[in-house]
Amino acid sequence: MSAAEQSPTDTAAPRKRLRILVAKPGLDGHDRGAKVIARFLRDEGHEVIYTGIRQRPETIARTAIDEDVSVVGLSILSGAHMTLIPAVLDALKAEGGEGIKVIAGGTISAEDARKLEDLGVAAVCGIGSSLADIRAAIDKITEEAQA
Amino acid sequence: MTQRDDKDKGRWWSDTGFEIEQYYEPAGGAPESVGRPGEYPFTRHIYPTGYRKRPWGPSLYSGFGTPEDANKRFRFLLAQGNGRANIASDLPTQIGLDSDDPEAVGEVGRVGVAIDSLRDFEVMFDGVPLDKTAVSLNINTVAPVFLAMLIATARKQGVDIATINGTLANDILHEYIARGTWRYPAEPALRLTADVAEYAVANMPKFYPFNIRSILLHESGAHPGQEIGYTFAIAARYMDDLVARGIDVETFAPHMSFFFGMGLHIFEEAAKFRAARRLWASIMRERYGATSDSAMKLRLTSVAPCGSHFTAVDPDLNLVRGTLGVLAGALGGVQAMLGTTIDEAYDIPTERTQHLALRTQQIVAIESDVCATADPLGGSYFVESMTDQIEESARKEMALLEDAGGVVAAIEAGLPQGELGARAYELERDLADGRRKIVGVNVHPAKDQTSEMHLHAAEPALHRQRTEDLRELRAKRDAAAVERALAEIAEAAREETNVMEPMITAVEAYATLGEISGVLDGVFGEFRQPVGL
Repeated sequence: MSAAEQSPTDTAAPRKRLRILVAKPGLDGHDRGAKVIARFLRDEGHEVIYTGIRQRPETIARTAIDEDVSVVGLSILSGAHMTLIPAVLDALKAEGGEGIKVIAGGTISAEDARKLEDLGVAAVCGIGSSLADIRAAIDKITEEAQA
Repeated sequence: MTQRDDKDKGRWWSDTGFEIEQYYEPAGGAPESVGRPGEYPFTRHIYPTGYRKRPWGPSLYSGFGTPEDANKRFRFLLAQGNGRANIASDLPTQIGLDSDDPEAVGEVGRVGVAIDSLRDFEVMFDGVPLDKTAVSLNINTVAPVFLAMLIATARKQGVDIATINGTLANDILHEYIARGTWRYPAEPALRLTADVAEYAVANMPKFYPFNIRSILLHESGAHPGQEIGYTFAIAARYMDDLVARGIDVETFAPHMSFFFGMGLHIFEEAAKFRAARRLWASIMRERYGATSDSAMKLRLTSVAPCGSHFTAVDPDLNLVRGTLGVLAGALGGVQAMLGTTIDEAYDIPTERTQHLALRTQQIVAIESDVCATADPLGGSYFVESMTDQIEESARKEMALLEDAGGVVAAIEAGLPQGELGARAYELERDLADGRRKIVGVNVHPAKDQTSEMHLHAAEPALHRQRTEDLRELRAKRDAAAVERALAEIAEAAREETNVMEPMITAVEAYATLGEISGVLDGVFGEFRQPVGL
């Protein structure tokens, strides 16, 4: 069964419990999606911290390190992802958090997704991503970390 | 739909020769709660003639890049029969940041037009005379600055501000619940809201200084009862503030207008608009003591439908969803409709996708018979029952916020935010589990789940150009006049006198949006968001 066919409410195999920061960088205030994902990840058994909207990249990096998370999920719908996501990656590196995996979500074109992955983003969940896609992205990160 | 030769007598016929009445009702009349179109409680329509004399106005929302780009798009849309210049601003503008602000990097001109000073308004409205073109300013946090810029632009065009027809969103409270471009704490921000309304009501008889944004609540997950209930709780707070300033309900109530969301359940949506009109009329009469029809009529704009009901997969099919949306708005009797474009999931619209959305509205209005009779669904067992249920739910939701110590206390405690967050999650789970069905997504899934829609690329040149323009503006203007005007704004804010006159003076001296907003930071401080899910 592919990730897309699997219902998120299926009882899945026990998962590794992660600490995840869901963050909204920049000026975009549309956080319906970020909050849905935060609730979903919490239901999946992860520990989830949500930053609220309009956070500076440096603040997000600092919070990620202070909270000792292994994953940061960034949601940007305004189209400013090519400015803000590299800024978060740089801030994580500068603060010694380069081991923290970053997942990007939002109105991100396939071309931008490739560029972001080249810059070190672990997964991009773009337009139209389902809850199952989010689960698959987290699973992929967990597997890679264990491999 | 044909109006034959004796339309002067008010008689209409279908193309096939059947006569159509202005409205229909059972022998002996409809129950009081339903009434007649144009009569209290206005369930059926705010005009007795429905759309016969005045169909809804198409009002597409646009604006991107520079004021020059926005001006070009307005002119294109107006030439195509769009009813108004409906302005989208970029995020820095909405928050009160100039284009050269470090926080604005990556956002300048992206989701709307970048506005820094009066010069940008002058360019944006070049060749768009403000006494002949209706305008919609979709702005909340910096609503007083935008109103000041509109007034100053009109003066430069030689237009009497009393002739300006348009709306200003000026709905600060929904920013804290749903939209997020807030700046100041709610209470001082509410003073600015009331300043704008007080000034406009006194000086601009054809202008609506409120266009309250139910749509953003819908987009955040609100069901119809929450959409109406939260909206009216918010509107009641604005009106209470005006009453406290000694402004008579009959003076301000005709200047209230609303901007509702919409889904694709067309009968439920039509019932929602009917329920909203009835509840509003009753609030205005019972709670505020309104006596004139004008003070009790709910003036409705809707979207057609909300962008969240459009899909990223198979985007061409969104045209069909758009048609359903227009039909729902028409059956619900709204006064104006924004069009959602098929590329909604991806980006701000192109001229082509806006053309499709605009023509969709025109086809429904002109080629179908929805405009022939007022409230064509009135008396339907289904729709009347939905109307009753939604009204009851809306009363409950309004009370939920008002009983939590008032709408501001409820927002500061994160109550409506949490309710809508929970509902948005429930909707997403329902989609994942197949209880909610969307064609192309979880029913008849499209083979190719990604579409290569064009996305606007970032334009760093725009940021540089505007930074340069601002440097030039600051060098050229009378710096002492700007300083003086900014000090007067701060004083008005501290003294709690209306900020509009000093705002207009500052704008006319080419003080920037960021400078004016910054001066108010010093008096008001910053909103602290309650962070929850």
